[in-house]
Amino acid sequence: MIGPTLTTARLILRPPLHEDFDGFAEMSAEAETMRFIGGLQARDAAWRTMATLAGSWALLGYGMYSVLKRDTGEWIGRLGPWRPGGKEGGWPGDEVGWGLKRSAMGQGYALEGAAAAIDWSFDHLGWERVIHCIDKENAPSIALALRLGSLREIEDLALAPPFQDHKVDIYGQSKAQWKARAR
Amino acid sequence: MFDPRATPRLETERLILRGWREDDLDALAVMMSDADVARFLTSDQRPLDRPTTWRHLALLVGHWALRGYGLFAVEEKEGGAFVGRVGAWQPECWVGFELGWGLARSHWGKGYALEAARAAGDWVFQSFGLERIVSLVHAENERSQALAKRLGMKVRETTFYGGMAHEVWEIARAEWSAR
Repeated sequence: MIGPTLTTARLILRPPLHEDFDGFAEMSAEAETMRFIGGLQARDAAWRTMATLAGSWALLGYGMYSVLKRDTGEWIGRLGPWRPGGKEGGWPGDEVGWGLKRSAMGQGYALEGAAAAIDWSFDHLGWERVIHCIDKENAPSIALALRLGSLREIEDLALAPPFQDHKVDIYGQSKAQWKARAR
Repeated sequence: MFDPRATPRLETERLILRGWREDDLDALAVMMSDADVARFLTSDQRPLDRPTTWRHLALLVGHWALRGYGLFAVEEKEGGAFVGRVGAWQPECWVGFELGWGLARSHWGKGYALEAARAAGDWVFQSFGLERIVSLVHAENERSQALAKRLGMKVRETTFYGGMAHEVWEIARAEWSAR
Protein backbone atom coordinates (compact mmCIF):
# COMPACT_ATOMS: atom_id res chain seq x y z
CA MET A 1 0.00 0.00 0.00
CA ILE A 2 1.27 3.47 -0.81
CA GLY A 3 -0.56 5.25 2.03
CA PRO A 4 -2.76 4.75 5.07
CA THR A 5 -6.43 3.89 5.42
CA LEU A 6 -8.47 6.26 7.61
CA THR A 7 -11.89 5.46 9.02
CA THR A 8 -14.55 7.94 10.14
CA ALA A 9 -18.09 7.36 11.40
CA ARG A 10 -19.43 6.77 7.89
CA LEU A 11 -16.41 6.80 5.55
CA ILE A 12 -13.25 5.00 4.53
CA LEU A 13 -10.38 7.06 3.10
CA ARG A 14 -7.52 5.31 1.30
CA PRO A 15 -5.22 5.98 -1.69
CA PRO A 16 -6.82 5.41 -5.13
CA LEU A 17 -7.05 1.86 -6.49
CA HIS A 18 -7.86 0.83 -10.03
CA GLU A 19 -11.25 -0.53 -8.93
CA ASP A 20 -12.27 3.09 -8.09
CA PHE A 21 -12.10 4.13 -11.71
CA ASP A 22 -15.72 3.70 -12.82
CA GLY A 23 -16.90 5.97 -10.00
CA PHE A 24 -14.08 8.39 -10.68
CA ALA A 25 -14.99 8.55 -14.39
CA GLU A 26 -18.66 9.04 -13.56
CA MET A 27 -17.83 12.05 -11.37
CA SER A 28 -15.46 13.43 -14.02
CA ALA A 29 -18.42 13.54 -16.44
CA GLU A 30 -20.65 15.60 -14.10
CA ALA A 31 -20.59 19.18 -15.37
CA GLU A 32 -21.72 20.80 -12.12
CA THR A 33 -19.28 18.78 -9.98
CA MET A 34 -16.29 19.41 -12.24
CA ARG A 35 -16.98 23.09 -12.90
CA PHE A 36 -14.57 24.26 -10.19
CA ILE A 37 -12.13 21.33 -10.05
CA GLY A 38 -10.51 21.20 -13.45
CA GLY A 39 -13.49 20.83 -15.77
CA LEU A 40 -15.21 17.91 -17.47
CA GLN A 41 -13.03 14.95 -18.39
CA ALA A 42 -13.73 12.01 -20.70
CA ARG A 43 -12.68 8.54 -19.53
CA ASP A 44 -9.16 8.69 -21.00
CA ALA A 45 -8.36 12.04 -19.35
CA ALA A 46 -10.08 11.01 -16.10
CA TRP A 47 -7.86 7.92 -15.90
CA ARG A 48 -4.76 10.06 -16.26
CA THR A 49 -5.99 12.34 -13.50
CA MET A 50 -6.65 9.40 -11.17
CA ALA A 51 -3.19 7.99 -11.98
CA THR A 52 -1.67 11.40 -11.19
CA LEU A 53 -3.36 11.33 -7.76
CA ALA A 54 -1.95 7.83 -7.13
CA GLY A 55 1.46 9.02 -8.33
CA SER A 56 1.43 11.86 -5.81
CA TRP A 57 1.19 9.26 -3.02
CA ALA A 58 4.17 7.39 -4.41
CA LEU A 59 6.32 10.48 -5.02
CA LEU A 60 5.48 12.61 -1.98
CA GLY A 61 4.01 10.20 0.54
CA TYR A 62 0.65 11.96 0.45
CA GLY A 63 -2.11 12.78 -2.00
CA MET A 64 -5.84 12.72 -2.47
CA TYR A 65 -7.67 9.80 -0.85
CA SER A 66 -10.48 7.88 -2.46
CA VAL A 67 -13.60 8.26 -0.29
CA LEU A 68 -15.85 5.22 0.15
CA LYS A 69 -19.03 4.74 2.16
CA ARG A 70 -18.44 2.27 4.96
CA ASP A 71 -21.86 0.67 4.71
CA THR A 72 -21.96 0.00 0.96
CA GLY A 73 -18.32 0.37 -0.17
CA GLU A 74 -19.46 2.83 -2.83
CA TRP A 75 -16.80 5.25 -4.12
CA ILE A 76 -18.18 8.75 -3.62
CA GLY A 77 -15.28 11.12 -4.29
CA ARG A 78 -11.71 12.11 -3.62
CA LEU A 79 -10.25 14.48 -1.05
CA GLY A 80 -7.12 15.07 0.95
CA PRO A 81 -3.66 16.60 1.05
CA TRP A 82 -2.55 18.01 -2.27
CA ARG A 83 0.54 19.97 -3.23
CA PRO A 84 1.56 19.09 -6.81
CA GLY A 85 5.33 19.34 -7.14
CA GLY A 86 5.83 19.38 -3.38
CA LYS A 87 7.38 22.41 -1.70
CA GLU A 88 9.00 23.66 -4.90
CA GLY A 89 6.06 23.03 -7.20
CA GLY A 90 4.65 26.56 -7.15
CA TRP A 91 1.41 25.53 -5.41
CA PRO A 92 0.21 28.22 -2.97
CA GLY A 93 0.62 26.02 0.12
CA ASP A 94 -0.24 22.75 1.82
CA GLU A 95 -3.79 22.12 0.66
CA VAL A 96 -6.54 19.80 1.74
CA GLY A 97 -8.99 19.80 -1.15
CA TRP A 98 -12.21 17.92 -1.84
CA GLY A 99 -14.62 16.88 -4.57
CA LEU A 100 -17.56 14.48 -4.27
CA LYS A 101 -19.94 12.89 -6.74
CA ARG A 102 -23.19 14.78 -7.02
CA SER A 103 -25.22 11.96 -5.50
CA ALA A 104 -23.05 12.17 -2.34
CA MET A 105 -23.33 15.93 -1.82
CA GLY A 106 -25.38 17.58 0.90
CA GLN A 107 -24.99 14.83 3.49
CA GLY A 108 -21.98 16.09 5.44
CA TYR A 109 -19.58 13.60 3.83
CA ALA A 110 -17.13 16.25 2.61
CA LEU A 111 -16.95 17.80 6.07
CA GLU A 112 -16.45 14.41 7.70
CA GLY A 113 -13.77 13.32 5.23
CA ALA A 114 -11.94 16.65 5.06
CA ALA A 115 -11.71 16.84 8.87
CA ALA A 116 -10.12 13.37 8.98
CA ALA A 117 -7.69 14.30 6.18
CA ILE A 118 -6.71 17.55 7.94
CA ASP A 119 -6.15 15.68 11.21
CA TRP A 120 -3.95 13.15 9.42
CA SER A 121 -2.02 15.82 7.51
CA PHE A 122 -1.16 17.86 10.61
CA ASP A 123 -0.21 14.72 12.53
CA HIS A 124 1.94 13.09 9.83
CA LEU A 125 3.21 15.65 7.33
CA GLY A 126 4.72 18.31 9.59
CA TRP A 127 2.43 21.00 8.26
CA GLU A 128 2.05 24.29 10.16
CA ARG A 129 -0.87 25.55 8.09
CA VAL A 130 -3.55 24.12 5.83
CA ILE A 131 -5.11 25.92 2.85
CA HIS A 132 -7.98 25.35 0.43
CA CYS A 133 -7.92 26.79 -3.12
CA ILE A 134 -11.52 27.72 -3.97
CA ASP A 135 -13.20 29.45 -6.89
CA LYS A 136 -15.07 32.61 -5.85
CA GLU A 137 -18.32 31.22 -7.27
CA ASN A 138 -18.06 27.85 -5.53
CA ALA A 139 -20.46 28.61 -2.69
CA PRO A 140 -20.73 25.05 -1.28
CA SER A 141 -16.94 24.73 -0.94
CA ILE A 142 -16.62 28.19 0.61
CA ALA A 143 -19.26 27.20 3.17
CA LEU A 144 -17.34 24.00 3.93
CA ALA A 145 -14.02 25.85 4.35
CA LEU A 146 -15.66 28.25 6.82
CA ARG A 147 -17.31 25.34 8.61
CA LEU A 148 -13.85 23.76 8.99
CA GLY A 149 -12.70 27.01 10.61
CA SER A 150 -10.63 28.33 7.70
CA LEU A 151 -10.80 32.01 6.72
CA ARG A 152 -10.18 33.77 3.43
CA GLU A 153 -6.55 34.88 3.28
CA ILE A 154 -5.85 35.76 -0.36
CA GLU A 155 -8.12 36.70 -3.27
CA ASP A 156 -7.80 36.07 -7.00
CA LEU A 157 -4.58 34.09 -6.98
CA ALA A 158 -3.49 32.39 -10.23
CA LEU A 159 -2.63 28.70 -9.73
CA ALA A 160 0.52 26.99 -11.02
CA PRO A 161 0.40 25.58 -14.59
CA PRO A 162 -1.53 23.95 -16.15
CA PHE A 163 -4.18 25.93 -14.23
CA GLN A 164 -2.54 29.36 -14.55
CA ASP A 165 -5.69 30.84 -16.09
CA HIS A 166 -7.79 29.74 -13.13
CA LYS A 167 -7.98 32.31 -10.30
CA VAL A 168 -8.86 31.09 -6.83
CA ASP A 169 -9.32 32.48 -3.34
CA ILE A 170 -7.16 30.94 -0.64
CA TYR A 171 -8.80 29.91 2.62
CA GLY A 172 -6.67 28.63 5.48
CA GLN A 173 -5.83 28.23 9.14
CA SER A 174 -2.87 27.33 11.34
CA LYS A 175 -2.25 24.00 13.03
CA ALA A 176 -2.88 25.67 16.42
CA GLN A 177 -6.25 26.96 15.23
CA TRP A 178 -7.19 23.52 13.92
CA LYS A 179 -6.15 21.79 17.14
CA ALA A 180 -8.17 24.31 19.21
CA ARG A 181 -11.27 23.77 17.08
CA ALA A 182 -14.33 22.58 18.97
CA ARG A 183 -15.35 19.07 17.86
CA MET B 1 -2.29 -1.98 -5.44
CA PHE B 2 1.25 -2.10 -6.80
CA ASP B 3 3.80 -0.09 -4.87
CA PRO B 4 5.93 1.73 -7.46
CA ARG B 5 8.91 1.41 -5.12
CA ALA B 6 8.85 -2.29 -6.06
CA THR B 7 9.40 -1.52 -9.78
CA PRO B 8 11.79 -4.13 -11.19
CA ARG B 9 15.26 -3.18 -12.30
CA LEU B 10 16.41 -4.31 -15.74
CA GLU B 11 19.99 -4.11 -16.99
CA THR B 12 21.35 -4.01 -20.51
CA GLU B 13 24.90 -3.65 -21.73
CA ARG B 14 24.94 0.12 -21.25
CA LEU B 15 21.66 0.99 -19.49
CA ILE B 16 19.61 0.51 -16.34
CA LEU B 17 15.80 0.55 -16.46
CA ARG B 18 14.41 1.32 -13.00
CA GLY B 19 11.55 2.86 -11.01
CA TRP B 20 10.96 6.59 -10.82
CA ARG B 21 12.25 8.87 -8.08
CA GLU B 22 11.20 12.36 -7.09
CA ASP B 23 14.65 13.65 -8.09
CA ASP B 24 14.13 12.51 -11.70
CA LEU B 25 12.03 15.66 -12.13
CA ASP B 26 14.94 17.92 -13.11
CA ALA B 27 16.15 15.71 -15.95
CA LEU B 28 12.61 14.84 -17.07
CA ALA B 29 11.73 18.55 -17.16
CA VAL B 30 14.75 19.25 -19.39
CA MET B 31 13.74 16.38 -21.68
CA MET B 32 10.07 17.43 -21.92
CA SER B 33 10.91 21.13 -22.47
CA ASP B 34 12.59 20.22 -25.78
CA ALA B 35 10.24 20.94 -28.68
CA ASP B 36 11.65 18.11 -30.81
CA VAL B 37 11.06 15.58 -28.02
CA ALA B 38 7.63 16.89 -27.02
CA ARG B 39 6.41 16.94 -30.61
CA PHE B 40 5.94 13.18 -30.65
CA LEU B 41 5.34 12.50 -26.95
CA THR B 42 2.75 14.93 -25.57
CA SER B 43 -0.92 14.80 -26.47
CA ASP B 44 -0.87 18.36 -27.87
CA GLN B 45 2.63 18.10 -29.38
CA ARG B 46 3.84 20.98 -27.16
CA PRO B 47 6.70 21.09 -24.63
CA LEU B 48 5.84 20.85 -20.92
CA ASP B 49 6.68 23.49 -18.31
CA ARG B 50 8.12 22.31 -15.00
CA PRO B 51 4.89 22.15 -12.93
CA THR B 52 3.16 20.24 -15.73
CA THR B 53 6.18 17.93 -15.97
CA TRP B 54 5.69 17.07 -12.28
CA ARG B 55 2.10 16.04 -13.06
CA HIS B 56 3.46 13.98 -15.97
CA LEU B 57 5.96 12.32 -13.62
CA ALA B 58 3.13 11.58 -11.17
CA LEU B 59 1.17 10.05 -14.08
CA LEU B 60 4.13 7.82 -15.02
CA VAL B 61 4.42 6.65 -11.40
CA GLY B 62 0.65 6.38 -10.93
CA HIS B 63 0.41 4.19 -14.04
CA TRP B 64 2.65 1.68 -12.21
CA ALA B 65 0.51 2.00 -9.07
CA LEU B 66 -2.79 1.37 -10.88
CA ARG B 67 -1.68 -1.15 -13.53
CA GLY B 68 1.36 -2.83 -11.96
CA TYR B 69 3.47 -1.95 -14.99
CA GLY B 70 4.55 1.20 -16.77
CA LEU B 71 7.35 3.15 -18.37
CA PHE B 72 10.73 2.76 -16.69
CA ALA B 73 13.16 5.55 -15.99
CA VAL B 74 16.26 4.79 -18.07
CA GLU B 75 19.75 5.82 -17.02
CA GLU B 76 23.29 5.18 -18.24
CA LYS B 77 25.01 2.43 -16.33
CA GLU B 78 28.20 4.42 -16.33
CA GLY B 79 27.67 7.70 -14.51
CA GLY B 80 23.90 7.35 -14.00
CA ALA B 81 22.84 10.12 -16.40
CA PHE B 82 19.07 10.16 -17.10
CA VAL B 83 18.37 8.97 -20.65
CA GLY B 84 14.57 8.87 -20.96
CA ARG B 85 11.58 6.59 -20.41
CA VAL B 86 10.92 3.22 -22.02
CA GLY B 87 8.52 0.43 -21.13
CA ALA B 88 4.87 -0.58 -20.97
CA TRP B 89 2.01 1.88 -21.40
CA GLN B 90 -1.72 1.33 -21.37
CA PRO B 91 -3.79 4.19 -19.98
CA GLU B 92 -7.60 3.96 -20.28
CA CYS B 93 -8.95 3.79 -23.86
CA TRP B 94 -5.46 3.06 -25.28
CA VAL B 95 -4.94 1.21 -28.53
CA GLY B 96 -3.49 -1.87 -26.78
CA PHE B 97 -0.66 -2.96 -24.51
CA GLU B 98 2.05 -0.65 -25.76
CA LEU B 99 5.80 -0.90 -25.78
CA GLY B 100 6.74 2.79 -25.69
CA TRP B 101 9.93 4.81 -25.77
CA GLY B 102 11.09 8.41 -25.60
CA LEU B 103 14.60 9.69 -24.96
CA ALA B 104 16.10 13.04 -24.05
CA ARG B 105 17.48 14.70 -27.13
CA SER B 106 21.08 14.54 -25.89
CA HIS B 107 20.86 10.73 -25.97
CA TRP B 108 19.48 10.29 -29.47
CA GLY B 109 21.57 8.45 -32.04
CA LYS B 110 23.41 6.10 -29.66
CA GLY B 111 21.21 3.05 -30.08
CA TYR B 112 19.89 3.46 -26.53
CA ALA B 113 16.20 3.33 -27.47
CA LEU B 114 16.68 0.01 -29.29
CA GLU B 115 18.71 -1.41 -26.41
CA ALA B 116 16.16 -0.37 -23.78
CA ALA B 117 13.11 -1.34 -25.87
CA ARG B 118 14.50 -4.86 -26.40
CA ALA B 119 14.98 -5.33 -22.67
CA ALA B 120 11.56 -3.88 -21.86
CA GLY B 121 9.88 -5.98 -24.56
CA ASP B 122 11.52 -9.16 -23.20
CA TRP B 123 10.26 -8.26 -19.72
CA VAL B 124 6.75 -7.52 -21.00
CA PHE B 125 6.40 -10.82 -22.85
CA GLN B 126 7.88 -12.79 -19.92
CA SER B 127 5.71 -11.10 -17.29
CA PHE B 128 2.20 -10.57 -18.61
CA GLY B 129 1.22 -13.51 -20.81
CA LEU B 130 0.48 -11.28 -23.79
CA GLU B 131 0.06 -12.61 -27.31
CA ARG B 132 1.03 -9.30 -28.94
CA ILE B 133 2.17 -5.79 -28.13
CA VAL B 134 1.76 -2.56 -30.08
CA SER B 135 3.59 0.74 -30.46
CA LEU B 136 1.80 3.94 -31.35
CA VAL B 137 4.06 6.05 -33.57
CA HIS B 138 3.32 9.53 -34.95
CA ALA B 139 3.02 9.34 -38.73
CA GLU B 140 5.91 11.82 -39.16
CA ASN B 141 8.19 10.25 -36.56
CA GLU B 142 10.71 8.60 -38.86
CA ARG B 143 13.18 7.75 -36.09
CA SER B 144 10.59 5.78 -34.16
CA GLN B 145 9.30 4.11 -37.31
CA ALA B 146 12.84 2.90 -38.01
CA LEU B 147 13.16 1.65 -34.44
CA ALA B 148 9.83 -0.23 -34.56
CA LYS B 149 11.01 -1.86 -37.79
CA ARG B 150 14.32 -2.89 -36.21
CA LEU B 151 12.36 -4.44 -33.34
CA GLY B 152 10.60 -6.59 -35.93
CA MET B 153 7.26 -4.79 -35.68
CA LYS B 154 4.88 -4.19 -38.60
CA VAL B 155 2.26 -1.52 -39.23
CA ARG B 156 -1.23 -2.84 -38.51
CA GLU B 157 -3.25 0.30 -39.14
CA THR B 158 -3.27 4.05 -39.01
CA THR B 159 -5.29 5.75 -36.32
CA PHE B 160 -5.84 9.26 -34.99
CA TYR B 161 -4.63 10.38 -31.60
CA GLY B 162 -4.81 14.01 -30.47
CA GLY B 163 -6.10 14.80 -33.95
CA MET B 164 -2.85 13.56 -35.53
CA ALA B 165 -2.27 10.48 -37.68
CA HIS B 166 -0.42 7.69 -35.88
CA GLU B 167 0.71 4.28 -37.06
CA VAL B 168 -0.07 1.27 -34.89
CA TRP B 169 2.94 -1.06 -35.09
CA GLU B 170 2.60 -4.52 -33.61
CA ILE B 171 4.46 -7.75 -33.03
CA ALA B 172 3.29 -11.17 -31.84
CA ARG B 173 4.94 -13.09 -29.03
CA ALA B 174 6.32 -15.79 -31.36
CA GLU B 175 7.85 -13.20 -33.69
CA TRP B 176 9.43 -11.35 -30.78
CA SER B 177 10.90 -14.56 -29.37
CA ALA B 178 12.22 -15.65 -32.78
CA ARG B 179 14.28 -12.53 -33.33
